[in-house]
Amino acid sequence: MEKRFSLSDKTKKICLKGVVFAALLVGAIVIILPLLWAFSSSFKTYAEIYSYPMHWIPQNIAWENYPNALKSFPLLRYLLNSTLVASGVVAFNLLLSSLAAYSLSKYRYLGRNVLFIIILGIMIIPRQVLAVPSFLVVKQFGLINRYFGLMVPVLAAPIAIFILRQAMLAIPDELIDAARIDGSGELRTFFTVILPLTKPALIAMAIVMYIFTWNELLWPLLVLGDPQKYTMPLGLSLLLDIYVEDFQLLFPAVIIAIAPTLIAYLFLQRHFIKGLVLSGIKG
Amino acid sequence: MGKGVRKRKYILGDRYSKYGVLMILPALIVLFIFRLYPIISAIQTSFFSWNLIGSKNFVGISNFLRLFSDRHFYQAFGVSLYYAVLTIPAVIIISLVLAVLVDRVVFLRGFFRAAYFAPFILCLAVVSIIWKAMYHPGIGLLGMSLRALGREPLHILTSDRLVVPGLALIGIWRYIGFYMIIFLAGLQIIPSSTLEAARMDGASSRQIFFKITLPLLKPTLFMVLVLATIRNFQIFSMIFVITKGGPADASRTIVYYIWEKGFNELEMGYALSMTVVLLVILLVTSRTYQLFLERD
Repeated sequence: MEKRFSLSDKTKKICLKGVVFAALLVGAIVIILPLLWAFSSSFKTYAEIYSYPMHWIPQNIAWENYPNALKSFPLLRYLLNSTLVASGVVAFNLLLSSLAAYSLSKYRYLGRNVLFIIILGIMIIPRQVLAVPSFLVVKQFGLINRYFGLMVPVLAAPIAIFILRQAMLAIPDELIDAARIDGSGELRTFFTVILPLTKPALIAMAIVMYIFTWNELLWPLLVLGDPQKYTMPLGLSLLLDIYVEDFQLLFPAVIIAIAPTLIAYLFLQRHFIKGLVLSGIKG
Repeated sequence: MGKGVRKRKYILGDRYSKYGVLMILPALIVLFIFRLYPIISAIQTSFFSWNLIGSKNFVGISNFLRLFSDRHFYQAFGVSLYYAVLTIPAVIIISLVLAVLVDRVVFLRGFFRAAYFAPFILCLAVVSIIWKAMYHPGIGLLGMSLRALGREPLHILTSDRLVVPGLALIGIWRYIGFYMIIFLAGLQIIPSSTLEAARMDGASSRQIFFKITLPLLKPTLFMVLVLATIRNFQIFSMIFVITKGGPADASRTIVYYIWEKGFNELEMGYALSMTVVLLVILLVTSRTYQLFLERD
């Protein structure tokens, strides 16, 4: 049948491509629509938020919404808290996980494979499900309402160990032998030879750990009691219960909360996608 | 006897083994105390009655007996199942179609990947605030659109019939980009020569999709199915921010119910018995997944 229309085949193909492209474009806009809507609404006055019909571009741009939101909610404090916690987790997690991964991939000792299987087993169980018993353990250690208590269960992550081990297995043993012959100590070899060679995996895992820690709600809800220490998701979701209908403050607050992640995503999207998909599949 | 020699060498390791042990130790301490021990302590405490402050009383299996006759537990389980039925097929079909389409496009391909993936990177708790506003009958984009079409705005979050579908839409919105990328990776594995040969033999696009692409994507499809199922049992943030389980428990999920029992009603033993049951469900699910994959 297609043969009969062979003359118009090319035009047909171009048309089809055009339709596919248009459909994808509409789909992408629909996906981003809630974010665009929140952004546009964050510049509307209280009256305009409620007014019908709705305008995508505010009639009178209410710049004051942003300073007002910052005055009503301790957003900068939450941002700082979240950033501190997530950065701490990334730094410690990458250090501990990559050391463990190096040990599992390049050293021989009794029980190494059993340990690896146990770590894989831990990976299967989602942290969200174990939040309550983890809280009880952290409480036993007297770490409730402390950042360290918030961070301690993720100071090492099975998924990071798994993926970094994978990357390190690809490094030839000869490199390590050569470093040893040159008289380099084991830790120095690790930091100067191994880590630079696993940089792509390290970047991917850094992003994953940062995003996971930043986005967590249930865990900070259990561990933190002091409002001064709240992370952004916890602080905002608790304020929502008080400022239920104050949308002229809530919209700018939400935009401020998601802006850092979105901006980082704009620049590093390939790393974001690679890392999150890798860990999503394995975790 | 060569085996004995090898074994001894293995126990002793080589002169570098001690460094290897020292390197894994910090991570092991963290994982054993804060990831493995909680599982053991959850199982143990699930046989006790405990209000978090007072002393623990051994109650045998009565927490589990209570659980199996707890109407609210079944309801929470039902909410998760209903949510699964609404999201999983929709997410799989939409993300698969998107992947096939994006795979054909060259121009702006990176933009499409990034745009569809974007909801997945954002904090669900924060984004849930946007969705709560989206569904607001007075100001929400959905209500405004319906009014523009001459219809009455829906009261999604206060209707026990519409609340779970409303939450399911958020789930679909959040995850299609993620699964699209997974399907895209699956599509790359299909050799282009196979598709080329089929085209040469006069197969139509539809035939190619159903007879070649789809069967070859089976492992990916299965993985997505299990990932989505497991994710289903962990929903908390959305419920905490948007509905608090309401109206009238219509959107209360299992993890939310566990949190409520443990921290609002201080029935820690009971909350942990539910955690144990949930763990068993998850382990059975991922074990089934493994068995199916190994069979193929």
